[in-house]
Amino acid sequence: MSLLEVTDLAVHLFTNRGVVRAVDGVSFSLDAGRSLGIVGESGCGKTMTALSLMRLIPEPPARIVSGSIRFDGEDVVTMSSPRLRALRGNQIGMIYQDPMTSLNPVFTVGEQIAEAVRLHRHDTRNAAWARAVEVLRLVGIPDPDRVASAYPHQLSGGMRQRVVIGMALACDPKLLVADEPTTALDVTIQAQILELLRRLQGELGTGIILITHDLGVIADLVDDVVVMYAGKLVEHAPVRRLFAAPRHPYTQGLLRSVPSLETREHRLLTIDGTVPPAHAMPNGCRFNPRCALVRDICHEQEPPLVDAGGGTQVACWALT
Amino acid sequence: MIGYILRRLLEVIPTVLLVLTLVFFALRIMPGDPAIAALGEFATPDAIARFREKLGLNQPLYMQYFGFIAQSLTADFGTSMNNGAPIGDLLGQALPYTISLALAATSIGIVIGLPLGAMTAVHRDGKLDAFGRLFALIGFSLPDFYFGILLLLVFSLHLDWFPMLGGGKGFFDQLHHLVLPAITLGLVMAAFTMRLTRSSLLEVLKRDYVRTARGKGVAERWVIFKHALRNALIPVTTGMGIYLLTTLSGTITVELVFSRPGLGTLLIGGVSARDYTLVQAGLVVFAFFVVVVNLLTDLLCAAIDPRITLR
Repeated sequence: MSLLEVTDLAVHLFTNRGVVRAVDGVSFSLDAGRSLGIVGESGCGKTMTALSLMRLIPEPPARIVSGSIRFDGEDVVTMSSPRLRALRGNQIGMIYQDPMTSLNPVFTVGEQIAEAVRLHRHDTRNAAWARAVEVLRLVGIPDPDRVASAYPHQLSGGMRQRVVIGMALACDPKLLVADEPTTALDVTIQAQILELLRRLQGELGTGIILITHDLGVIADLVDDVVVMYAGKLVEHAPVRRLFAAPRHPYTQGLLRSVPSLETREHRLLTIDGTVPPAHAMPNGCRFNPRCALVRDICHEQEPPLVDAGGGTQVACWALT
Repeated sequence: MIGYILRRLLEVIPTVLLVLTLVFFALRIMPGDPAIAALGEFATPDAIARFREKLGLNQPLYMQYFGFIAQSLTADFGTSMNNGAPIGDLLGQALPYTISLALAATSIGIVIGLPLGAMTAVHRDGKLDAFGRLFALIGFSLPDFYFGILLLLVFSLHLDWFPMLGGGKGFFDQLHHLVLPAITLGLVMAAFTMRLTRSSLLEVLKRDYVRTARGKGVAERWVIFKHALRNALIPVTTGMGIYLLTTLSGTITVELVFSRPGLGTLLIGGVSARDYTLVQAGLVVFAFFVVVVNLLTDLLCAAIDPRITLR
């Protein structure tokens, strides 16, 4: 049985300008100890997908309208709040995009980590604090005893993100969801944080879902990749396969637009056009206005996700 | 934190000196001679000269100024120009009534305003929120003198639950006399606190760290009362400090309405009798209040928000 099984997930935003289908029929699964990358441009629904896994989406305006998220066999979508709280921070840890804003400014980082430990393990105050210090050491913070008593504003961005990662790992979760964990950081710090995630995955065997818009980030960190476009899953493939033989025209475009030192392109290639506005999605395949391979059926029907060999699944009429 | 407290205490010194200077010169540039005001237009030049000498008004201005500063700092305000009573005694009698009123009103404001503000923010646009909005509207739009008279009419005159006038003798009687004036001032304070808490908490609830707390599995009640409210309290504390200062002048009206023998009543009496020394002392005491309230507000903010002391 897989650790996480997302089936046909749909998250809609109910706004004044109409319903936005932020996540529309997305399915994927993850086995224990494995890792999955979710890639796409901003606004493609990847963060909504990540937040849905623990039902952390802002309600209202967002709501999970259909589908199921089975974690260890239990459906998160229909789970009672006490069960959900027992899951959050305990079985599933979350790393957020911006470490500058995701820590509470009025509590020390040690308190913030120990809080999760006390909640889920019912440890004493001292034991929870000791665990917080231990976790800080685990995520590579020098002098963790001192840092535990520091407030977030006394730490740098990279240190804060290590704290957030430590907080997510404090209760030994089976799954770690990282929502763009390096986007808000300097490039040198980005590499350190990615290295840390890689090391932790190896040491702890935690399942990881890594959400990013940066293909370079996932290349050597995840086993499988899901590519999302405008709320839809367009391609699902093992990571090597995705880089070696991308199938969907959108994935190909994404890979072409990654700058490379090996080819002698003078201009960086881009994908023509922009993501359509959320409340005015085209009929049929949502990528059709930007697609070079577009044909009549693309304007009429949404392409189903089909097997394309080599473990790749792709949703494109041109390939079926 | 201790360093911060010391620093803030040191900063009080120039503030107090500045305030005393302003009070001194404000009274000196007021038109009219205090001696003539006190003795009447037909006083003999001899009497006026004696009066001026007694009050030190014949000395050069800078001597008067330093004398005044020294007296103020030692809380020696001299005697009333009108009846010769020591001003220190007058203030000592009046102050407890004003301080108890301000404290009671603030307590009512916090006890009603904070929870109501928090609950209306959490149940935004619900029935409770509508009630809260109505409450704030009433609290803000009723002038305190009018509301005070209304309370007097209903609860003193018709129902006879509370006394009409005065400050009361003995602890329980004084408490009994305090209820209506405290409600009069406290209602506005509660309305203000409620609005401030509501908007501040709504803002904080959108922050990422609130989501982080939920993501850790913290129960919603604790997300709000531990993680969000403490952050929301920072602007609320500052706002209430400022508001408390305006309430101090509010005590003057309320004391008049309820005939409480407090500082406001004493000052109004001093002004209408042109009792310069009394008014001067009253202003110093009010200014002292302002400094103390500001200091307490700052220290409270620093206790809530660790970022303040480390700046």
